[in-house]
Amino acid sequence: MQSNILLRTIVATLLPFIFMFGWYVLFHGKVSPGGGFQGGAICATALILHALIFGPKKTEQVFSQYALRVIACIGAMIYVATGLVSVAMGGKYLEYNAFFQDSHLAQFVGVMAVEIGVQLTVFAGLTLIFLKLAEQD
Amino acid sequence: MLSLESFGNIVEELSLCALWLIVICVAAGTIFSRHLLKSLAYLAIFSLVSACLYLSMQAPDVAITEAAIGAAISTIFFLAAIRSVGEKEETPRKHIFVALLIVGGFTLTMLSTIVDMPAYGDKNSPANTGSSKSYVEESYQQTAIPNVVTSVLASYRGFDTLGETLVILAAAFSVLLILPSRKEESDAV
Repeated sequence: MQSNILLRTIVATLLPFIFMFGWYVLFHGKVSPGGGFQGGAICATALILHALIFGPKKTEQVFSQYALRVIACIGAMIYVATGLVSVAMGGKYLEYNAFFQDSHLAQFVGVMAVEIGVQLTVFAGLTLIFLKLAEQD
Repeated sequence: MLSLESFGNIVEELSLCALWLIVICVAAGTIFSRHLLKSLAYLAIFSLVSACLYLSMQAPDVAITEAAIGAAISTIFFLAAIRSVGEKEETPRKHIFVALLIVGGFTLTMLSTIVDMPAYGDKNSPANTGSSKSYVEESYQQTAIPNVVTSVLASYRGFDTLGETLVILAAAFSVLLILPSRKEESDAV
């Protein structure tokens, strides 16, 4: 599959758009269907597509397995830290209203932080599973 | 004289029936095919058609997840797994009558509960009169997030989503731990 010029060209053109769509689904998830989980999955498909067409080794030059492990952990840590910050600011765990006086702004910030955490974990986690499966020969 | 609206309704009902029929056929194909790659293709179609059905039930969030996770990513995971396992199903199928008896009994039990289920879209059903009513009515005033699904997932039910995220993390790291890494193999050789 790695020598097919059609696939390579199409995938190379489509990749940035798929990736961007993943982040669109995240940031637009408040209004349209979607959110961190769906966005992360779409971003992971983009990277997996790259690995399928160009080979996992090429993909790991951009996102090494170590980097993906770090990203996955950072995502989960963002989520946990959001809860801890709300505790530190006098609320309950994951009570976003403790962030600001304006409850709508506080909800926005809290939901966004949490969703970004989910996005990073799902993206890195799913890609990691594929890269690990792909190196079994 | 058939009005345009009722004609549209009939077409919608028929296409939904066709989708359900495809789902059932494809599910049967997944089970009965002895070739793992064919099973996998059936499974991918199953997920894709399920995504359409979720969309018809006004659940676009679930549909996106099903299309991305079910149809795309899990298919690729299975593909990668089949590559190292082999394409043919090798274990012979024994005790098929015992299995049929158990599955048949279970199916009958499940079917018997259908009688007590509320009608599809019933506004008096427990699912629509419980806490979901207050979410739908109050979530926009409380959070200013138009998509109720997002506000419920990330705000009201933040603990559950935290658990979900940690499950994904745990799944990824278990795969990393279980499967041998490239370095260890080269050391062994």
